[in-house]
Amino acid sequence: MRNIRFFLKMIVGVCVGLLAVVLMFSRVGRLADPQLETVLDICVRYGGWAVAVILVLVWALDHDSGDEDRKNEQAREQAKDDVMLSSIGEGVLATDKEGVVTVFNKTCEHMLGWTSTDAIGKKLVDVVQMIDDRGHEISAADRPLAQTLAQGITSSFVQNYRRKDGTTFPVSITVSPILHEGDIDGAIAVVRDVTKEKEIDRAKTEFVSLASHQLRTPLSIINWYVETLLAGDHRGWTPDQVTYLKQVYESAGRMAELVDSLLNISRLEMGTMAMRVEEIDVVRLAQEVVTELDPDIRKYHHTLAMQVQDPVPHVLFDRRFIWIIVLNLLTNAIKYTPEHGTITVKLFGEEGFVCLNVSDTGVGIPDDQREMIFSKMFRAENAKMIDSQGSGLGLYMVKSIVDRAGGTISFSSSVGKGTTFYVRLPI
Amino acid sequence: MNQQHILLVEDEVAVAKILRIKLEEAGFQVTVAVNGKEGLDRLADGGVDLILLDLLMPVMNGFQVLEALQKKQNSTPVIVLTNLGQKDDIEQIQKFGPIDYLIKSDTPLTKILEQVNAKLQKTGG
Repeated sequence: MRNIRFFLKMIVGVCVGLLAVVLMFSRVGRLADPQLETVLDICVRYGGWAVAVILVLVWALDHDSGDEDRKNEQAREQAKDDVMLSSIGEGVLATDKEGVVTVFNKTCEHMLGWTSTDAIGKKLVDVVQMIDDRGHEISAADRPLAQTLAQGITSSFVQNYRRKDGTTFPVSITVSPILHEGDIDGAIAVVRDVTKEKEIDRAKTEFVSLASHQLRTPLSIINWYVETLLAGDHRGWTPDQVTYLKQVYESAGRMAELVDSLLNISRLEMGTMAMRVEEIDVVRLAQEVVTELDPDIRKYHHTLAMQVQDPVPHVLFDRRFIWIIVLNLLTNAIKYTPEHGTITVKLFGEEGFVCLNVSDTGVGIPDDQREMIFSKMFRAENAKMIDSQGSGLGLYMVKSIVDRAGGTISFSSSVGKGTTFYVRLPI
Repeated sequence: MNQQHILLVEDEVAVAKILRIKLEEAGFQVTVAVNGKEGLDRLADGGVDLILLDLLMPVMNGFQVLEALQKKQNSTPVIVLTNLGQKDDIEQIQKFGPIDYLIKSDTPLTKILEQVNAKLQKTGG
């Protein structure tokens, strides 16, 4: 639209300009009255000049109004930017390449207590202090802004900012470089107050702690009393009564395991799992797990083979977690293999890793369910047919632990033939 | 041989009862205190060889008991018997030294007795 107007103006301008030139140099034809001829000649010539002058004036005024238009346009854009910056929920601040603040939006003002007038024109590090979790101030050179300005990288992190009144609060910050023709021209930081998220995290941790205590206390009471009854004198009890009591004991044990699994998972997810790191002989640990599972192996008439390729290096991790990995893989192999199956546990060292392969001749994992196998609470259809009691937490927990240890887990499987799980744990 | 004396600091009656039965069956003398404050009072009476300590208790909790013991430089061996097992809880226990702890719901009574015997043998109590 603006272009069409411009072209029309140009055409009219050129036409009027030509008319002016023509008029300036025109002569009225010879008239009978020489006096009238002279007057008309002067009128035409000066008329041409007048048209030329008017044209120039109109052009100049129009040019001015073009400038005015551009200024208005800029002001509109600026107003739009200002509204956008001030209505955005996140704090947005920008600095030049020296780290001097050039933009400090309303949310920053609310969050930090400093006004944009306080901040703009000053170095960000001189206005807003960044504090680590131990309460120490982070030096200017170590702040992500300095790194972004030096290396041109975008970084995201969680730290604490200090408000004008001296209080601190946690923020999630993303700093990105402003690049202009390959040079770093400054940086933009988007800041989000994460006080609420931290509070929710804390509440979750407290809930887990409470649930842990509240659920476990009655379970331990049931376990200990039934344990005492079963260990005592059974004379005078019918065999059924003893069976019922054993059933209670087994169920309480299963419930305790389930509570443990759920709590372990939430701790792993929240990173609140207490780690007791030690040097672990995985071969020995696997043998212990096999011994513990021996009654089940016998029950199913399975054959279990341990293949160890020495030397298998020790792993530095929490023993209980490695136990959970081996126990779950072996329990699954035993449970999901038809009677008289073969289970193989292979252990060997390989380029900084301890490899544990657990193979079975079991039902296998259906092709269309392979991707879900490590998902929380997921159970493959054929697994549900065999055992309706499983929680679907085992492999999820195994994967979470392997990830936490910096290792990898994968599997190969063929329905009706068997499955092998491959675990690699860094040494 | 004199009977060894165990101070059981535990607010849950059912837990305290079964532990007392089992420990007495195993030949120990058992005193039960229902909170940390009462536990410290019994301890002050002397003659305690080992403390079995719960953590979450009214009036004075187990962490406060451990702190008081540290302040008093009381070196009576302690086994924490709890259902708290979070990172923070365990780190908080370990601040008071390498203290043994057992998670109640994961530990059969026989295992607790084994641990008590092992601890008493190790400390020569």
